Amino acid sequence: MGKLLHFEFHKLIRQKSFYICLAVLLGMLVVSAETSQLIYADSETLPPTLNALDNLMSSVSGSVLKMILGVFIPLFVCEDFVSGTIRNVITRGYTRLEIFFSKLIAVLCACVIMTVLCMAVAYLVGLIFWGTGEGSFTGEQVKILLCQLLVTLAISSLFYAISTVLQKTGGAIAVCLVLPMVLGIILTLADTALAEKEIQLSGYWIESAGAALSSADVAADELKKSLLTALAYLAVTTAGSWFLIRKREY
Amino acid sequence: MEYILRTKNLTKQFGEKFAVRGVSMQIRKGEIYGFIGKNGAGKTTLMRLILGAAMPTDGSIELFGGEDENSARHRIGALLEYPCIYKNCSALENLRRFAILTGNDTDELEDILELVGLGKVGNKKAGQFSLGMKQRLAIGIALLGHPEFLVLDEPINGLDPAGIKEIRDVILALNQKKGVTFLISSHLLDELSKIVTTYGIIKDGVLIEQITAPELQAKCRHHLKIAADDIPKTAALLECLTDKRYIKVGDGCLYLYDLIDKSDRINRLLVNHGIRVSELAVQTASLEEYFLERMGK
Repeated sequence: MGKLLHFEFHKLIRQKSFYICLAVLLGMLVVSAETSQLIYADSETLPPTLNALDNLMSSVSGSVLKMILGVFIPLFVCEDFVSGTIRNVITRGYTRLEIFFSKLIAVLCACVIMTVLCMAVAYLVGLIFWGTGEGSFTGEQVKILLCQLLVTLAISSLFYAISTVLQKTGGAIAVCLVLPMVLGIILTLADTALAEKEIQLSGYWIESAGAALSSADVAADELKKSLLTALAYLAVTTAGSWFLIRKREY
Repeated sequence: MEYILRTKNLTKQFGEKFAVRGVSMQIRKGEIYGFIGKNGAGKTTLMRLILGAAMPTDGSIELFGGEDENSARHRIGALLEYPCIYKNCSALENLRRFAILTGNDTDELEDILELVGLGKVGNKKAGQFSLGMKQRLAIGIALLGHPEFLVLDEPINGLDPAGIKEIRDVILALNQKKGVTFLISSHLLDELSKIVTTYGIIKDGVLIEQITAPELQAKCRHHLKIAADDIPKTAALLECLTDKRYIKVGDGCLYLYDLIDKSDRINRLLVNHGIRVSELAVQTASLEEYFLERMGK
Protein backbone atom coordinates (compact mmCIF):
# COMPACT_ATOMS: atom_id res chain seq x y z
CA MET A 1 0.00 0.00 0.00
CA GLY A 2 2.91 2.33 0.80
CA LYS A 3 4.39 1.87 -2.68
CA LEU A 4 0.99 2.40 -4.25
CA LEU A 5 0.47 5.63 -2.35
CA HIS A 6 3.93 6.78 -3.39
CA PHE A 7 3.01 5.88 -7.00
CA GLU A 8 -0.26 7.86 -6.84
CA PHE A 9 1.35 10.90 -5.23
CA HIS A 10 4.20 10.81 -7.73
CA LYS A 11 1.60 10.91 -10.51
CA LEU A 12 -0.33 13.69 -8.76
CA ILE A 13 2.73 15.88 -8.35
CA ARG A 14 3.65 15.40 -12.01
CA GLN A 15 0.10 15.78 -13.32
CA LYS A 16 -0.06 18.94 -15.43
CA SER A 17 -3.84 19.07 -15.13
CA PHE A 18 -3.47 19.46 -11.36
CA TYR A 19 -1.51 22.68 -11.75
CA ILE A 20 -3.69 23.94 -14.58
CA CYS A 21 -6.87 23.33 -12.57
CA LEU A 22 -5.29 24.96 -9.53
CA ALA A 23 -4.24 28.00 -11.57
CA VAL A 24 -7.71 28.32 -13.11
CA LEU A 25 -9.34 28.01 -9.67
CA LEU A 26 -7.17 30.69 -8.11
CA GLY A 27 -7.42 32.88 -11.20
CA MET A 28 -11.21 32.65 -11.07
CA LEU A 29 -11.18 33.79 -7.42
CA VAL A 30 -9.20 36.89 -8.36
CA VAL A 31 -11.42 37.59 -11.39
CA SER A 32 -14.54 37.15 -9.25
CA ALA A 33 -13.23 39.59 -6.64
CA GLU A 34 -12.21 42.05 -9.35
CA THR A 35 -15.70 41.80 -10.88
CA SER A 36 -17.34 42.54 -7.51
CA GLN A 37 -14.97 45.46 -7.08
CA LEU A 38 -15.94 46.87 -10.48
CA ILE A 39 -19.67 46.40 -9.82
CA TYR A 40 -19.47 48.32 -6.56
CA ALA A 41 -16.89 50.82 -7.77
CA ASP A 42 -19.49 53.55 -8.21
CA SER A 43 -21.37 52.75 -5.00
CA GLU A 44 -20.77 54.99 -2.05
CA THR A 45 -20.74 52.11 0.40
CA LEU A 46 -19.65 48.53 -0.08
CA PRO A 47 -22.15 45.77 0.82
CA PRO A 48 -21.43 44.46 4.32
CA THR A 49 -20.55 41.01 2.90
CA LEU A 50 -17.60 42.36 0.94
CA ASN A 51 -14.66 41.76 3.22
CA ALA A 52 -11.83 39.27 3.58
CA LEU A 53 -13.64 37.04 6.11
CA ASP A 54 -16.85 36.74 4.10
CA ASN A 55 -14.89 36.23 0.92
CA LEU A 56 -13.06 33.38 2.68
CA MET A 57 -16.25 31.83 4.04
CA SER A 58 -18.04 31.90 0.68
CA SER A 59 -15.05 30.83 -1.44
CA VAL A 60 -15.45 27.06 -1.06
CA SER A 61 -19.22 26.85 -1.29
CA GLY A 62 -19.23 28.64 -4.65
CA SER A 63 -19.49 26.68 -7.88
CA VAL A 64 -15.91 27.28 -9.07
CA LEU A 65 -14.17 24.81 -6.77
CA LYS A 66 -16.77 22.12 -7.47
CA MET A 67 -16.44 22.68 -11.21
CA ILE A 68 -12.66 22.45 -11.05
CA LEU A 69 -12.83 19.28 -8.94
CA GLY A 70 -15.38 17.88 -11.39
CA VAL A 71 -12.81 18.28 -14.15
CA PHE A 72 -9.63 17.38 -12.30
CA ILE A 73 -10.79 14.23 -10.50
CA PRO A 74 -11.95 12.39 -13.66
CA LEU A 75 -8.76 13.48 -15.46
CA PHE A 76 -6.60 12.08 -12.68
CA VAL A 77 -8.59 8.95 -11.89
CA CYS A 78 -9.57 7.83 -15.39
CA GLU A 79 -6.08 8.14 -16.87
CA ASP A 80 -5.07 4.68 -15.66
CA PHE A 81 -8.25 3.09 -16.94
CA VAL A 82 -8.15 4.81 -20.34
CA SER A 83 -4.46 4.12 -21.02
CA GLY A 84 -4.69 0.60 -19.57
CA THR A 85 -1.86 1.32 -17.12
CA ILE A 86 -4.11 -0.02 -14.35
CA ARG A 87 -3.18 -3.45 -15.74
CA ASN A 88 0.49 -2.81 -14.98
CA VAL A 89 -0.51 -2.25 -11.35
CA ILE A 90 -2.92 -5.17 -11.01
CA THR A 91 -0.60 -7.65 -12.68
CA ARG A 92 2.10 -6.70 -10.16
CA GLY A 93 -0.01 -8.19 -7.41
CA TYR A 94 -1.67 -5.12 -5.95
CA THR A 95 -5.24 -5.81 -4.91
CA ARG A 96 -8.22 -3.91 -6.23
CA LEU A 97 -8.93 -2.64 -2.71
CA GLU A 98 -5.40 -1.25 -2.32
CA ILE A 99 -5.63 0.44 -5.72
CA PHE A 100 -9.07 1.86 -4.93
CA PHE A 101 -8.02 3.37 -1.61
CA SER A 102 -4.64 4.66 -2.76
CA LYS A 103 -6.32 6.55 -5.59
CA LEU A 104 -9.04 7.83 -3.23
CA ILE A 105 -6.46 9.05 -0.72
CA ALA A 106 -4.53 10.85 -3.48
CA VAL A 107 -7.74 12.46 -4.75
CA LEU A 108 -8.76 13.57 -1.26
CA CYS A 109 -5.29 15.02 -0.65
CA ALA A 110 -5.49 16.93 -3.92
CA CYS A 111 -8.89 18.17 -2.82
CA VAL A 112 -7.49 19.34 0.54
CA ILE A 113 -4.66 21.20 -1.22
CA MET A 114 -7.06 22.88 -3.63
CA THR A 115 -9.56 23.78 -0.89
CA VAL A 116 -6.97 25.17 1.50
CA LEU A 117 -5.30 27.20 -1.27
CA CYS A 118 -8.72 28.38 -2.42
CA MET A 119 -9.50 29.58 1.11
CA ALA A 120 -6.09 31.21 1.55
CA VAL A 121 -6.23 33.04 -1.78
CA ALA A 122 -9.86 34.11 -1.20
CA TYR A 123 -8.88 35.62 2.15
CA LEU A 124 -5.81 37.30 0.69
CA VAL A 125 -7.76 38.72 -2.26
CA GLY A 126 -10.50 39.92 0.10
CA LEU A 127 -7.87 41.53 2.27
CA ILE A 128 -6.30 43.33 -0.70
CA PHE A 129 -9.60 44.53 -2.19
CA TRP A 130 -11.76 45.24 0.85
CA GLY A 131 -9.80 44.78 4.06
CA THR A 132 -10.78 42.70 7.09
CA GLY A 133 -14.23 44.27 7.60
CA GLU A 134 -16.02 44.31 10.91
CA GLY A 135 -16.14 40.59 11.57
CA SER A 136 -13.42 38.86 13.52
CA PHE A 137 -11.89 35.46 12.94
CA THR A 138 -12.84 33.15 15.81
CA GLY A 139 -12.85 29.47 16.65
CA GLU A 140 -16.39 29.26 15.25
CA GLN A 141 -15.18 30.24 11.81
CA VAL A 142 -12.44 27.62 12.01
CA LYS A 143 -15.11 24.99 12.74
CA ILE A 144 -17.17 26.18 9.78
CA LEU A 145 -14.13 26.10 7.51
CA LEU A 146 -13.26 22.57 8.62
CA CYS A 147 -16.84 21.53 7.99
CA GLN A 148 -16.64 23.15 4.53
CA LEU A 149 -13.51 21.16 3.88
CA LEU A 150 -15.32 17.98 4.87
CA VAL A 151 -18.21 18.81 2.54
CA THR A 152 -15.71 19.39 -0.29
CA LEU A 153 -14.11 16.02 0.48
CA ALA A 154 -17.56 14.42 0.31
CA ILE A 155 -18.18 16.03 -3.08
CA SER A 156 -14.74 14.81 -4.20
CA SER A 157 -15.56 11.28 -3.11
CA LEU A 158 -18.79 11.50 -5.14
CA PHE A 159 -16.76 12.60 -8.19
CA TYR A 160 -14.27 9.82 -7.45
CA ALA A 161 -17.10 7.31 -7.36
CA ILE A 162 -18.41 8.57 -10.71
CA SER A 163 -14.93 8.40 -12.25
CA THR A 164 -14.11 4.89 -10.99
CA VAL A 165 -17.46 3.52 -12.08
CA LEU A 166 -17.46 5.13 -15.55
CA GLN A 167 -13.69 4.86 -16.20
CA LYS A 168 -14.00 7.17 -19.20
CA THR A 169 -12.58 10.68 -18.86
CA GLY A 170 -15.07 12.55 -21.05
CA GLY A 171 -18.14 10.81 -19.70
CA ALA A 172 -17.01 11.18 -16.10
CA ILE A 173 -16.33 14.94 -16.50
CA ALA A 174 -19.75 15.42 -18.09
CA VAL A 175 -21.51 13.51 -15.32
CA CYS A 176 -19.52 15.24 -12.56
CA LEU A 177 -20.48 18.64 -13.93
CA VAL A 178 -24.10 17.91 -14.77
CA LEU A 179 -25.24 15.34 -12.19
CA PRO A 180 -25.01 17.59 -9.09
CA MET A 181 -27.01 20.27 -10.88
CA VAL A 182 -29.65 17.85 -12.13
CA LEU A 183 -29.95 16.04 -8.80
CA GLY A 184 -30.33 19.39 -7.00
CA ILE A 185 -33.21 20.32 -9.29
CA ILE A 186 -34.83 16.87 -8.97
CA LEU A 187 -34.70 17.01 -5.18
CA THR A 188 -36.18 20.52 -5.14
CA LEU A 189 -38.98 19.36 -7.44
CA ALA A 190 -39.52 16.33 -5.22
CA ASP A 191 -39.84 18.61 -2.19
CA THR A 192 -42.43 20.70 -4.03
CA ALA A 193 -44.36 17.63 -5.13
CA LEU A 194 -44.32 16.00 -1.71
CA ALA A 195 -45.22 19.27 0.02
CA GLU A 196 -43.60 17.86 3.14
CA LYS A 197 -42.63 20.60 5.57
CA GLU A 198 -40.92 18.48 8.19
CA ILE A 199 -38.27 16.93 5.95
CA GLN A 200 -36.76 18.76 2.99
CA LEU A 201 -35.00 16.24 0.73
CA SER A 202 -32.99 18.98 -0.96
CA GLY A 203 -31.61 19.93 2.46
CA TYR A 204 -29.77 16.62 2.52
CA TRP A 205 -28.16 17.15 -0.87
CA ILE A 206 -24.44 17.63 -0.38
CA GLU A 207 -24.35 20.97 -2.21
CA SER A 208 -27.08 22.31 0.05
CA ALA A 209 -25.03 21.22 3.03
CA GLY A 210 -22.14 23.22 1.60
CA ALA A 211 -24.27 26.25 0.79
CA ALA A 212 -25.53 26.34 4.38
CA LEU A 213 -21.94 26.91 5.50
CA SER A 214 -21.18 29.87 3.26
CA SER A 215 -21.39 32.59 5.86
CA ALA A 216 -19.30 33.46 8.90
CA ASP A 217 -22.25 32.83 11.19
CA VAL A 218 -23.76 29.33 11.05
CA ALA A 219 -26.12 27.87 13.65
CA ALA A 220 -24.79 24.89 15.60
CA ASP A 221 -27.65 22.67 14.35
CA GLU A 222 -26.93 23.57 10.77
CA LEU A 223 -23.23 22.88 11.27
CA LYS A 224 -24.02 19.49 12.78
CA LYS A 225 -26.42 18.63 9.97
CA SER A 226 -23.84 19.56 7.31
CA LEU A 227 -21.17 17.58 9.12
CA LEU A 228 -23.31 14.45 9.30
CA THR A 229 -24.47 14.84 5.70
CA ALA A 230 -20.85 15.13 4.53
CA LEU A 231 -19.79 12.07 6.52
CA ALA A 232 -22.74 10.09 5.17
CA TYR A 233 -21.89 11.06 1.58
CA LEU A 234 -18.24 10.12 2.11
CA ALA A 235 -19.19 6.72 3.48
CA VAL A 236 -21.95 5.95 0.98
CA THR A 237 -20.10 7.06 -2.16
CA THR A 238 -16.92 5.24 -1.11
CA ALA A 239 -18.72 2.02 -0.17
CA GLY A 240 -21.02 2.23 -3.21
CA SER A 241 -18.28 2.74 -5.77
CA TRP A 242 -16.14 0.02 -4.19
CA PHE A 243 -19.10 -2.36 -4.32
CA LEU A 244 -19.61 -1.58 -8.01
CA ILE A 245 -16.00 -1.96 -9.12
CA ARG A 246 -14.60 -4.58 -6.73
CA LYS A 247 -14.85 -7.39 -9.26
CA ARG A 248 -14.15 -5.39 -12.39
CA GLU A 249 -11.79 -6.96 -14.87
CA TYR A 250 -9.07 -5.20 -16.80
CA MET B 1 10.58 -30.39 -10.49
CA GLU B 2 9.96 -26.76 -9.59
CA TYR B 3 6.86 -25.28 -11.16
CA ILE B 4 6.42 -21.57 -11.66
CA LEU B 5 2.81 -21.94 -12.72
CA ARG B 6 0.26 -24.66 -12.39
CA THR B 7 -3.38 -24.23 -13.25
CA LYS B 8 -6.05 -26.74 -12.52
CA ASN B 9 -9.30 -26.85 -14.44
CA LEU B 10 -9.08 -23.09 -15.01
CA THR B 11 -12.30 -21.80 -16.53
CA LYS B 12 -13.58 -18.39 -17.54
CA GLN B 13 -17.11 -17.98 -18.72
CA PHE B 14 -18.73 -14.84 -20.13
CA GLY B 15 -22.44 -15.52 -20.00
CA GLU B 16 -22.98 -18.72 -21.92
CA LYS B 17 -19.65 -18.54 -23.72
CA PHE B 18 -16.53 -20.24 -22.39
CA ALA B 19 -13.45 -18.13 -23.09
CA VAL B 20 -11.24 -20.59 -21.22
CA ARG B 21 -12.43 -24.08 -20.39
CA GLY B 22 -10.87 -26.48 -17.93
CA VAL B 23 -7.27 -25.52 -18.64
CA SER B 24 -4.72 -27.45 -16.60
CA MET B 25 -1.23 -26.40 -17.56
CA GLN B 26 2.22 -26.41 -16.01
CA ILE B 27 5.21 -24.21 -16.60
CA ARG B 28 8.50 -25.38 -15.14
CA LYS B 29 11.16 -22.99 -13.85
CA GLY B 30 13.45 -21.85 -16.65
CA GLU B 31 11.08 -22.76 -19.47
CA ILE B 32 10.09 -20.54 -22.34
CA TYR B 33 6.50 -21.57 -22.82
CA GLY B 34 4.94 -20.57 -26.12
CA PHE B 35 1.21 -20.13 -26.35
CA ILE B 36 -0.29 -20.80 -29.75
CA GLY B 37 -3.88 -20.35 -30.78
CA LYS B 38 -6.04 -18.56 -33.27
CA ASN B 39 -7.50 -15.11 -32.59
CA GLY B 40 -10.13 -15.45 -29.90
CA ALA B 41 -8.88 -18.88 -28.84
CA GLY B 42 -8.50 -17.68 -25.24
CA LYS B 43 -4.75 -16.94 -25.00
CA THR B 44 -5.10 -13.42 -23.66
CA THR B 45 -7.96 -14.35 -21.33
CA LEU B 46 -5.86 -17.16 -19.90
CA MET B 47 -2.95 -14.75 -19.39
CA ARG B 48 -5.29 -12.24 -17.73
CA LEU B 49 -6.49 -14.94 -15.36
CA ILE B 50 -2.93 -15.91 -14.50
CA LEU B 51 -2.03 -12.28 -13.87
CA GLY B 52 -5.11 -11.47 -11.80
CA ALA B 53 -6.54 -8.97 -14.27
CA ALA B 54 -9.57 -11.22 -14.66
CA MET B 55 -11.20 -13.57 -12.20
CA PRO B 56 -11.72 -17.25 -12.97
CA THR B 57 -15.22 -18.70 -12.98
CA ASP B 58 -13.78 -21.98 -11.79
CA GLY B 59 -10.45 -23.70 -11.20
CA SER B 60 -7.27 -22.68 -9.46
CA ILE B 61 -3.93 -21.04 -10.14
CA GLU B 62 -0.77 -21.96 -8.29
CA LEU B 63 2.18 -19.60 -8.67
CA PHE B 64 5.72 -20.31 -7.47
CA GLY B 65 4.69 -23.52 -5.79
CA GLY B 66 1.65 -22.26 -3.93
CA GLU B 67 2.72 -18.83 -2.72
CA ASP B 68 -0.10 -16.34 -2.04
CA GLU B 69 -1.27 -15.23 -5.50
CA ASN B 70 -0.90 -11.50 -4.96
CA SER B 71 2.51 -11.68 -3.33
CA ALA B 72 3.62 -14.11 -6.05
CA ARG B 73 2.58 -11.60 -8.68
CA HIS B 74 5.13 -9.14 -7.30
CA ARG B 75 7.65 -11.55 -8.88
CA ILE B 76 5.98 -11.44 -12.29
CA GLY B 77 6.39 -8.95 -15.13
CA ALA B 78 3.76 -8.69 -17.79
CA LEU B 79 2.80 -7.23 -21.12
CA LEU B 80 -0.86 -7.79 -21.92
CA GLU B 81 -2.39 -7.24 -25.37
CA TYR B 82 -1.17 -3.71 -26.05
CA PRO B 83 1.42 -1.35 -24.56
CA CYS B 84 -0.07 0.11 -21.39
CA ILE B 85 1.90 3.32 -20.98
CA TYR B 86 1.40 6.97 -20.05
CA LYS B 87 1.40 8.66 -23.42
CA ASN B 88 1.91 12.15 -22.00
CA CYS B 89 5.08 11.11 -20.21
CA SER B 90 8.55 10.36 -21.48
CA ALA B 91 9.77 6.78 -21.69
CA LEU B 92 12.00 7.42 -18.68
CA GLU B 93 9.15 8.87 -16.64
CA ASN B 94 7.01 5.85 -17.52
CA LEU B 95 9.70 3.59 -16.12
CA ARG B 96 10.22 5.87 -13.14
CA ARG B 97 6.53 5.66 -12.23
CA PHE B 98 6.30 1.89 -12.39
CA ALA B 99 9.67 1.53 -10.71
CA ILE B 100 8.02 2.93 -7.59
CA LEU B 101 5.77 -0.13 -7.57
CA THR B 102 8.57 -2.59 -8.18
CA GLY B 103 11.20 -0.93 -6.01
CA ASN B 104 13.79 -0.53 -8.77
CA ASP B 105 16.69 1.88 -8.31
CA THR B 106 16.45 4.85 -10.63
CA ASP B 107 20.00 4.07 -11.84
CA GLU B 108 18.71 0.85 -13.39
CA LEU B 109 16.14 2.61 -15.55
CA GLU B 110 18.65 3.87 -18.10
CA ASP B 111 20.00 0.32 -18.43
CA ILE B 112 16.51 -1.04 -19.07
CA LEU B 113 15.93 1.62 -21.72
CA GLU B 114 19.21 0.61 -23.35
CA LEU B 115 18.27 -3.05 -23.15
CA VAL B 116 15.01 -2.52 -25.02
CA GLY B 117 16.61 -0.21 -27.55
CA LEU B 118 15.19 3.09 -26.32
CA GLY B 119 18.38 4.48 -24.83
CA LYS B 120 18.48 7.46 -27.17
CA VAL B 121 14.81 8.43 -26.87
CA GLY B 122 14.34 8.13 -23.13
CA ASN B 123 13.23 11.73 -22.81
CA LYS B 124 10.83 11.67 -25.74
CA LYS B 125 7.11 11.53 -25.00
CA ALA B 126 5.78 7.98 -25.30
CA GLY B 127 2.75 9.28 -27.19
CA GLN B 128 5.05 10.22 -30.07
CA PHE B 129 6.50 6.72 -30.29
CA SER B 130 5.77 4.29 -33.10
CA LEU B 131 3.92 1.08 -32.21
CA GLY B 132 7.20 -0.80 -32.12
CA MET B 133 8.77 1.72 -29.76
CA LYS B 134 5.72 1.63 -27.49
CA GLN B 135 5.99 -2.14 -27.49
CA ARG B 136 9.65 -1.89 -26.47
CA LEU B 137 8.75 0.48 -23.67
CA ALA B 138 6.02 -1.90 -22.47
CA ILE B 139 8.58 -4.71 -22.44
CA GLY B 140 10.90 -2.42 -20.46
CA ILE B 141 8.10 -1.87 -17.92
CA ALA B 142 7.58 -5.64 -17.72
CA LEU B 143 11.29 -6.06 -16.96
CA LEU B 144 11.13 -3.76 -13.92
CA GLY B 145 11.58 -5.40 -10.55
CA HIS B 146 13.79 -8.23 -11.82
CA PRO B 147 10.83 -10.56 -12.46
CA GLU B 148 11.39 -14.29 -12.24
CA PHE B 149 8.47 -14.98 -14.53
CA LEU B 150 7.58 -12.87 -17.56
CA VAL B 151 4.20 -13.13 -19.24
CA LEU B 152 4.34 -11.53 -22.66
CA ASP B 153 1.27 -11.37 -24.86
CA GLU B 154 2.31 -10.77 -28.47
CA PRO B 155 5.56 -9.04 -27.45
CA ILE B 156 6.90 -8.62 -30.98
CA ASN B 157 3.77 -7.05 -32.40
CA GLY B 158 4.67 -4.01 -34.46
CA LEU B 159 8.42 -4.60 -34.29
CA ASP B 160 10.62 -4.47 -37.37
CA PRO B 161 12.85 -7.50 -38.13
CA ALA B 162 15.79 -5.94 -36.32
CA GLY B 163 13.57 -5.20 -33.35
CA ILE B 164 12.24 -8.75 -33.34
CA LYS B 165 15.78 -10.07 -33.19
CA GLU B 166 16.74 -7.66 -30.40
CA ILE B 167 13.76 -8.70 -28.28
CA ARG B 168 14.43 -12.36 -29.02
CA ASP B 169 18.02 -11.87 -27.85
CA VAL B 170 16.82 -10.12 -24.68
CA ILE B 171 14.43 -13.00 -23.94
CA LEU B 172 17.11 -15.61 -24.54
CA ALA B 173 19.68 -13.72 -22.48
CA LEU B 174 17.29 -13.31 -19.54
CA ASN B 175 16.32 -16.97 -19.77
CA GLN B 176 19.82 -18.34 -20.07
CA LYS B 177 21.75 -15.95 -17.85
CA LYS B 178 19.20 -15.14 -15.18
CA GLY B 179 16.93 -18.16 -15.37
CA VAL B 180 13.82 -16.09 -16.06
CA THR B 181 10.81 -18.19 -17.01
CA PHE B 182 8.64 -16.99 -19.88
CA LEU B 183 5.08 -17.44 -21.04
CA ILE B 184 4.84 -15.93 -24.52
CA SER B 185 2.07 -15.83 -27.05
CA SER B 186 2.70 -14.87 -30.64
CA HIS B 187 1.23 -15.28 -34.06
CA LEU B 188 4.69 -15.31 -35.57
CA LEU B 189 5.18 -19.04 -35.21
CA ASP B 190 8.57 -19.18 -36.85
CA GLU B 191 9.84 -16.55 -34.43
CA LEU B 192 8.33 -18.41 -31.53
CA SER B 193 9.98 -21.64 -32.64
CA LYS B 194 13.40 -19.99 -32.32
CA ILE B 195 13.12 -19.57 -28.56
CA VAL B 196 10.35 -21.71 -27.14
CA THR B 197 11.10 -24.83 -25.10
CA THR B 198 7.49 -25.93 -24.56
CA TYR B 199 4.38 -25.22 -26.56
CA GLY B 200 0.77 -24.98 -25.43
CA ILE B 201 -1.83 -25.14 -28.15
CA ILE B 202 -5.16 -23.62 -27.27
CA LYS B 203 -8.34 -23.95 -29.30
CA ASP B 204 -11.74 -22.53 -28.38
CA GLY B 205 -10.58 -21.98 -24.81
CA VAL B 206 -9.34 -25.54 -24.39
CA LEU B 207 -5.66 -26.42 -24.08
CA ILE B 208 -5.53 -29.21 -26.61
CA GLU B 209 -1.84 -30.00 -26.38
CA GLN B 210 1.29 -29.28 -24.35
CA ILE B 211 4.41 -30.40 -26.11
CA THR B 212 8.11 -29.77 -25.64
CA ALA B 213 10.20 -28.42 -28.51
CA PRO B 214 12.11 -31.72 -29.02
CA GLU B 215 8.82 -33.66 -29.00
CA LEU B 216 7.38 -31.27 -31.51
CA GLN B 217 10.47 -31.54 -33.65
CA ALA B 218 10.09 -35.30 -33.63
CA LYS B 219 6.44 -35.05 -34.53
CA CYS B 220 7.23 -32.63 -37.33
CA ARG B 221 9.63 -35.14 -38.93
CA HIS B 222 6.97 -35.91 -41.38
CA HIS B 223 8.28 -38.34 -44.01
CA LEU B 224 11.24 -39.64 -45.95
CA LYS B 225 11.62 -38.50 -49.51
CA ILE B 226 13.33 -41.10 -51.69
CA ALA B 227 14.47 -40.32 -55.24
CA ALA B 228 15.74 -43.43 -57.05
CA ASP B 229 16.14 -44.80 -60.56
CA ASP B 230 13.52 -47.54 -60.03
CA ILE B 231 10.60 -46.28 -57.97
CA PRO B 232 8.26 -49.31 -58.53
CA LYS B 233 11.00 -51.70 -57.34
CA THR B 234 11.74 -49.38 -54.38
CA ALA B 235 8.07 -49.38 -53.43
CA ALA B 236 7.92 -53.19 -53.68
CA LEU B 237 10.95 -53.52 -51.40
CA LEU B 238 9.60 -51.09 -48.83
CA GLU B 239 6.25 -52.90 -48.74
CA CYS B 240 8.16 -55.74 -47.12
CA LEU B 241 9.16 -53.42 -44.27
CA THR B 242 6.00 -51.45 -43.64
CA ASP B 243 2.34 -51.17 -44.47
CA LYS B 244 1.39 -50.10 -47.98
CA ARG B 245 -0.57 -47.09 -46.75
CA TYR B 246 2.67 -45.43 -45.52
CA ILE B 247 4.07 -45.39 -49.04
CA LYS B 248 3.13 -42.80 -51.60
CA VAL B 249 4.53 -42.28 -55.05
CA GLY B 250 4.45 -39.03 -56.94
CA ASP B 251 6.57 -36.49 -58.86
CA GLY B 252 9.05 -39.27 -59.69
CA CYS B 253 9.76 -39.80 -55.97
CA LEU B 254 8.62 -42.06 -53.20
CA TYR B 255 7.35 -40.65 -49.90
CA LEU B 256 7.60 -42.91 -46.87
CA TYR B 257 5.54 -41.94 -43.83
CA ASP B 258 6.98 -44.60 -41.55
CA LEU B 259 10.47 -45.75 -40.54
CA ILE B 260 11.68 -42.16 -40.58
CA ASP B 261 14.43 -43.03 -38.09
CA LYS B 262 15.61 -45.93 -40.27
CA SER B 263 16.91 -44.02 -43.28
CA ASP B 264 20.35 -45.72 -43.10
CA ARG B 265 18.76 -49.19 -43.12
CA ILE B 266 16.50 -48.28 -46.04
CA ASN B 267 19.42 -46.85 -47.99
CA ARG B 268 21.42 -50.06 -47.46
CA LEU B 269 18.47 -52.20 -48.49
CA LEU B 270 17.94 -50.28 -51.72
CA VAL B 271 21.64 -50.22 -52.62
CA ASN B 272 21.93 -53.96 -51.89
CA HIS B 273 19.13 -54.53 -54.40
CA GLY B 274 20.89 -52.54 -57.10
CA ILE B 275 18.78 -49.43 -56.83
CA ARG B 276 20.61 -46.15 -57.34
CA VAL B 277 19.41 -43.68 -54.70
CA SER B 278 19.92 -40.06 -55.70
CA GLU B 279 18.10 -38.51 -52.70
CA LEU B 280 17.09 -39.77 -49.30
CA ALA B 281 15.97 -37.00 -46.98
CA VAL B 282 13.84 -36.49 -43.89
CA GLN B 283 11.29 -33.85 -44.73
CA THR B 284 9.76 -31.91 -41.85
CA ALA B 285 6.50 -30.07 -41.46
CA SER B 286 6.86 -26.50 -40.26
CA LEU B 287 5.43 -25.40 -36.92
CA GLU B 288 2.81 -23.57 -38.93
CA GLU B 289 1.77 -26.74 -40.74
CA TYR B 290 1.70 -28.68 -37.49
CA PHE B 291 -0.28 -25.92 -35.81
CA LEU B 292 -2.81 -25.73 -38.65
CA GLU B 293 -3.16 -29.49 -38.59
CA ARG B 294 -3.88 -29.44 -34.85
CA MET B 295 -6.31 -26.58 -35.33
CA GLY B 296 -8.20 -28.78 -37.71
CA LYS B 297 -7.67 -26.80 -40.89
